[in-house]
Amino acid sequence: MSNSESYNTALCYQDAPPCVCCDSQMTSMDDYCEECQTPAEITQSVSQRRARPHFISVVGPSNAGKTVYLGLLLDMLCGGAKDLKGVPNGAFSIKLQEQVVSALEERRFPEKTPNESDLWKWLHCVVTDSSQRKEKTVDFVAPDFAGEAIATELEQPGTYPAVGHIVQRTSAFLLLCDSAEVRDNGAREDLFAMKLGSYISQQQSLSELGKSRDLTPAIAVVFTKSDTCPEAAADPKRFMANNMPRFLDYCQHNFPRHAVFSASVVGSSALLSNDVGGVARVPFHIQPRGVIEPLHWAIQNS
Amino acid sequence: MPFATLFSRPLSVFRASFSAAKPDGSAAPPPTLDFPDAPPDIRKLVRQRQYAHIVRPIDGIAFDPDSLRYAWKAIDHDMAYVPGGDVTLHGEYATTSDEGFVLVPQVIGTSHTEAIYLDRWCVTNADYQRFVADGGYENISLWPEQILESVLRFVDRTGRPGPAQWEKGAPAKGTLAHPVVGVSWYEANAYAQWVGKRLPTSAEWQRAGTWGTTSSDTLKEPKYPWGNSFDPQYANTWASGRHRTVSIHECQGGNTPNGIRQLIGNVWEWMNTQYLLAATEEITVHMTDPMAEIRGGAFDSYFHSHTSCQSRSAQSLLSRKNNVGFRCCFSAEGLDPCGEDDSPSTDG
Repeated sequence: MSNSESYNTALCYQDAPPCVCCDSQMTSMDDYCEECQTPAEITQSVSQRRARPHFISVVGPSNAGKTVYLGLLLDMLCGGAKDLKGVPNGAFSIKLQEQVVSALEERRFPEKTPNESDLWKWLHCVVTDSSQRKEKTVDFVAPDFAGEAIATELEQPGTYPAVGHIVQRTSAFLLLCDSAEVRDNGAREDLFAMKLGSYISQQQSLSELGKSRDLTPAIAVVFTKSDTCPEAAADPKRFMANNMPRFLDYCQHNFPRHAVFSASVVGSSALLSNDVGGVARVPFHIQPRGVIEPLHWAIQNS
Repeated sequence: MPFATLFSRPLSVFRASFSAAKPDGSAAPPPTLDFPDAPPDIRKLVRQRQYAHIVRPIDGIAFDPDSLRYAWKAIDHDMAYVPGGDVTLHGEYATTSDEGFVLVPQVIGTSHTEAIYLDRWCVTNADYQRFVADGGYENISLWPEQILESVLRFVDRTGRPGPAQWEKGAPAKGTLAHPVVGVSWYEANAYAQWVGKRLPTSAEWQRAGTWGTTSSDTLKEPKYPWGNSFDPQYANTWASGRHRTVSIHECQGGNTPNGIRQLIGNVWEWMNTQYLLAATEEITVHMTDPMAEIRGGAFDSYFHSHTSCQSRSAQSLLSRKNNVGFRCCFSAEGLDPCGEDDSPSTDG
């Protein structure tokens, strides 16, 4: 390397903050962190704010509704919902919102999130919580994980470094579960949640923590698509006790701060199938229920 | 009846009813007309808003002119005349695209509607309470035989017959003037029959929202009763930020020119039209229960493009949602409203 090349490289490193997710040193030339694929614009956006980011991760199995939940949540925060008001920090944060809102207004669900972590959409939103006497502002940072990537990472930790690094840094998890899937295939969903809980404990080395101070993350279990499952909408806590007893027990022992919610975005829908085995719902109209509450709880409890 | 009378009468009474309403949009129900001089049976029918039985008697035997005048006075107060005409019905069909299953908007076609009288406001909790108190849920003639078993399940939170969100046979405090919600399509129909009316069809409802402001140049219907641009002051949807039903006295800026309130927002309205979803041939639509169209959007409707006079949605007939209510109508065909000049004395 010539002197001028090494000087330029040094400048690149000097300008660039470490990855917000895994602390790897990045250069100003990088679009993504080489280690965990976090977009450089997220790192830049967070470092400009000079505030400690508050990672809240929306996790759950494939098709649990993570993308719709996250996109609509961001849109609702922008409009101001209840005591929370959010301002997206950077145009990239609006991409997810735009994708979801445009699709829902056209009465369809957005495309499935690709498995490749460099294609995930991220958001960084400055959220102000004015529910208490003293306003609280947090830098809400969240990726839109692909459900398949989470499942693969649970089976073979290290396959998706991005998932591992973010889980390690996350202070509150919104664990989304499809209400109808839980009702109809309770054991499978229950065991997936158990695996996820166990993975979180492992990544955050919870077993090594002392008992004097609670450093465990907050876990909000959210039963999504509750418009198709009135039992989950009516009493989510009871619904969890009846259908996911293993994970409820796990939470009680490992995550002292946990709460159960139900959420839906659709007012009514129709189930369609085609002759090649495809089955999906199409929404007739959008009426969000219980979307803000889990985030509000997560901010207050993390 | 002269053409001019049909239009001037509802408008004049519409103005009168405005002044009677509390200015702060309070929870007081709309004033119920009472005619102390009327025969007891006529007086009761008017007080229960069952005056349609007087002008359209089921047995075909006409009432005396005085009784008819009392009834028309009440109709003028509560209902608006919607002239017949054409509307362009919009819908959607399901198909497959690169993004999976999608609903593609389409124009279904032009539908001709006959003239009707349509309730100026949705049926309120106060109205519905009279139906419950009169034994509406026990009156077997108001319910189709095939759903009698379901009628037993049409109970409130405390197990009494009534809307799903009521308790101990009564609505929540302060909501007497709010539209009744938590009623299935069958309950809406039973009430409509009880008052001598029916639910409007989707085309009739759309005509009510658009006829007064259709541009004669383009013949294009406006999106909303007040024009083409959405205004959250005029309709209680998500954008208005209230996130609950409001009294029928609110959002009056969104009224139709002939004084029909809250067609857009506050609560979806049950239609007397079955919802059918067309689909391309490779698609099967799975609907476990039959669905009826609902129109207008509600307090929790997120996109105002879903709440225009042309857009529609659907709910299963047995569902009892907290954002679906209804209003009633009856056909104006063959009816001859009595003149107001010689109407009996009234006490609003």
